[in-house]
Amino acid sequence: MEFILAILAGTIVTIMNVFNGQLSNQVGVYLSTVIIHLVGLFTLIIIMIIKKQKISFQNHIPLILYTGGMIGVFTVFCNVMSISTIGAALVTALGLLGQMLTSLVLEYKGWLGAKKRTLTFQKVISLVLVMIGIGVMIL
Amino acid sequence: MIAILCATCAGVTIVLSRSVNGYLSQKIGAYQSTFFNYFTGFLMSSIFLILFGFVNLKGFQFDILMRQPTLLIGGMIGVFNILILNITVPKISPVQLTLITFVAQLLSGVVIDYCIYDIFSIQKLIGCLIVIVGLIAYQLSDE
Repeated sequence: MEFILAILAGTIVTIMNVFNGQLSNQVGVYLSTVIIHLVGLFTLIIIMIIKKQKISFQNHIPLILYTGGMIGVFTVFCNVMSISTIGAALVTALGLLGQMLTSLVLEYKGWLGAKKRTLTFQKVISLVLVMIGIGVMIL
Repeated sequence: MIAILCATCAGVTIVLSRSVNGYLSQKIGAYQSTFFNYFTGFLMSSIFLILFGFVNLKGFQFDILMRQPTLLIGGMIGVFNILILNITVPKISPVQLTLITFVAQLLSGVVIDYCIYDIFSIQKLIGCLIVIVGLIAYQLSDE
C-alpha cells in the first residue's frame, strides 16, 4: 500500500511541475511561490472543512518541527539558482544525490522518526548501481 | 561550483522538509501538519517576495490568473502530494521513498514529454531501468 502511495506521490509531482512551471513563466518565481502556497492553503482549508478537521497549535511540540514548509521554499530557490547555470538534467541528478545522502543519514542515525537501519556492503553496491543509472540518464 | 552545491542542497531540503512534515504528522495528524506546512511556507515565500521580487510586482496583471485559472492547478495538486507523503513517510524507509518517488517522477516525466512535448529520450528510459534494478537490489539486501 505504502509503495503505491509513494509511486502516486512521485507521479503527481511531475504533473504539478508542468502547471507550476507555466505559472512561474507567467508571473516570475517569487510571486509564483507565494501564489502556490496561498492556493494550497485555501485548498487545504476547504478539504479540512469537508473532513471536519480543527486546527490547533500545540505548545509541547518543538517549534523546529513546524518548519517543514519553510524548508520547502528553499528547495524552490536552490533549484532556481542552479538551473540556469548547469541545466535541468544535472539539477535533477544532483538533487537526487542530495536526497540519497540525506536519506542515508536519517536512516543510519534513525533521526526524524526513521527506523534505524545499518548500511551493508550490498546496500552500497545497489546505490552505486542507482548512481550509474542516473549517469546514463544525463548522458 | 555554487550552482552544483545549490542543486545538491535542493535535494537535501526535499528530504528534510518531507521528514519533518511526516514526523509532525505523526504527532498532530496529516491534515494539521499539512496546514502548518503551507502556513509557514506562505510566510517564508512572502518574505522572499518582499526582499527580492518586489520589482517584478509592479505592473503585474492579476487578470492573467482570471483568464487562465489552470495556472492554479499546480498549487492544488501540491496539497494532495503533501497529504499523501504525510501518510507514507512514517511507514517506509527514507531511502526507499526517495528512490520510488524519483523513479515514478522520471517515468511519468518520460510519458509526459512524449505525449505533450513530443520528445522521447531512450537514455532516460534505460537509466530509469538501471535505477529500478538498483532499487530492487537495495530492497532485497534490506531483508
